[in-house]
Amino acid sequence: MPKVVEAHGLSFGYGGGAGPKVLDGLDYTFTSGAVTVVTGPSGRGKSTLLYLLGLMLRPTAGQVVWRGEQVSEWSDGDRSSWRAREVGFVFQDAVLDPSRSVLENIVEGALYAGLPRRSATARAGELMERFGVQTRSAAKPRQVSGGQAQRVALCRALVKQPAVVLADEPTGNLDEGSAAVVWQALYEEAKRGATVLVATHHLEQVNADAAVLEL
Amino acid sequence: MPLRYLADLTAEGVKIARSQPMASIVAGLMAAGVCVAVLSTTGQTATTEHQVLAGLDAVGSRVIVVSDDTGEARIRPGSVTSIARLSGVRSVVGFGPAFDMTLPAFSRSAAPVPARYVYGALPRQVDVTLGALAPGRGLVGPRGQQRLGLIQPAAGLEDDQGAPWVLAGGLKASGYLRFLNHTIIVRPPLEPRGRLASTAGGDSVASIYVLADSVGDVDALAAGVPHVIQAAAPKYNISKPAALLRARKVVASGLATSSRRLMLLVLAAGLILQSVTMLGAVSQRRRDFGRRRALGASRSAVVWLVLIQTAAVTVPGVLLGSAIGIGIVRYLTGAYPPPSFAAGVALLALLFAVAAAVPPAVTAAFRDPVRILRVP
Repeated sequence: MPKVVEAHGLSFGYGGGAGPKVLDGLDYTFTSGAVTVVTGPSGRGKSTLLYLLGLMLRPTAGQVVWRGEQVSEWSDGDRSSWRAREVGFVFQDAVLDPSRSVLENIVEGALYAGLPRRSATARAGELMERFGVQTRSAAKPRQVSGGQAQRVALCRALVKQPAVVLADEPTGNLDEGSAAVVWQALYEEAKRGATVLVATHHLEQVNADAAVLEL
Repeated sequence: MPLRYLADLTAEGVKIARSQPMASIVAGLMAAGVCVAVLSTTGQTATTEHQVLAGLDAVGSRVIVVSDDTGEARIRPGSVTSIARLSGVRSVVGFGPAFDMTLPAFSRSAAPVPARYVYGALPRQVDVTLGALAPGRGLVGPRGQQRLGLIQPAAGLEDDQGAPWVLAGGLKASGYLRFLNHTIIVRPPLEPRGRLASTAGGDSVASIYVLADSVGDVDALAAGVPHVIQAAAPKYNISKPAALLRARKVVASGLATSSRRLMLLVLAAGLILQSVTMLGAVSQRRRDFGRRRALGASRSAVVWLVLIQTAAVTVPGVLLGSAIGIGIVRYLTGAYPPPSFAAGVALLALLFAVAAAVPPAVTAAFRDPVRILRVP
């Protein structure tokens, strides 16, 4: 499988590296078409690793390499642009805009990638149908359940068909049924060719063919 | 940024404004308040200033007079045409030396009326009430007609040399040419006659009245006129309304400076309040901007979103405030403020509001999105 994202000696400490190191010299290669589960006790840097790979944080040492290019040193504008095009984030608590409808929240996922609104809306429709939230498209986030909100967040992450999906405890607040839907979607994305990283404590629903990175 | 992306971001900024109704209303009312405050204070001054300046301009601060009082300059009539070609000239008319005309039947007893040759087109200040100006024919002003004892401004006249003339109509003059109401003006005849026929060198111009397009053109015209005047000797005077021009300058600079200073003070106070309001609005949406950064919004995109949000709430406020402020000025002074002033205040209020949003926008753009997203 082709290498997509690589961590080369990746280290990070909050407070500009002055604080204790959360990650220390991590070397790992994340391939496309696979789900990598990042696990480990709290405070070992699972979320931090996702933020580093999503270029929302700069490593205090080491490099993030994207298709052979050292991307972690890029400017904020380039990193944002890359994140907008290539990365779909899923957070533990969905992080939806409470003032917008479900549909608008999903379409926003494509806004910063510069995708035409019309095609983003069409793609959002397909995803809502796939994840069973099409009847809630006009609802506000406070009007949907936690499981539905997380599926909406998943739709938002996938609307631009990202090359990398970074999911931080995506099923942490969900019941078993909703969690299964989310996991299924993540595996399907990997089958489509995406590089999927999931930071989680919950390994019950992890497939046997998923790679596991324990921190 | 591609145009479509910019348009999408702009639409997004407007949506943010709509999603924060309370902050938007406060910011909008603040912009309205600034416009009302500026218009109802400096707007009154500006309106008064505008009226005073309009009055000064109307009474002749744009008129330059070239005069040959002694007759030694012998200004040639072609000078009128030459001056008319200068840039910044609204109208120009020249008059020859005065000579007397009377009704022949009563030439010994009736009072004579001064007559002058006229050169160039009659300006708007001279209204031909009857007849038309033609070579060798004259038009008389109402006072001159009265002096001649004529019921209608039509008669045969003779000059002080006994040469015959035809009075073919009347005129009414106003403004700086109202002295013509006492006189007869005559378009020079094709063949000189009377006293002027014996004048060496033919006819000459005794005075030329030049009306400038604007007050700002007066000095340049006064300097340019001597270069195009054709005269036997440069013994003519050029006068401009120096006292009026000085008064105008005092009004334009003195009043303007104080009112502009007050306006800037009000705008600056509005800027600070607007900045605090927008900082509050941005703080409320801390998590929102963190989410947007995670979705790929660059710092410049976040700044743009906040600035558009500000503009979206300020525009209705500025329109409302301008309408109220204009109404207050109308009520207090009986006149509307100059449109350019009202538009300028509205534009400045908008620019100040957007400028006030820059610090909150930059603050939002530089917040650490990871920290924001990890704090529920």
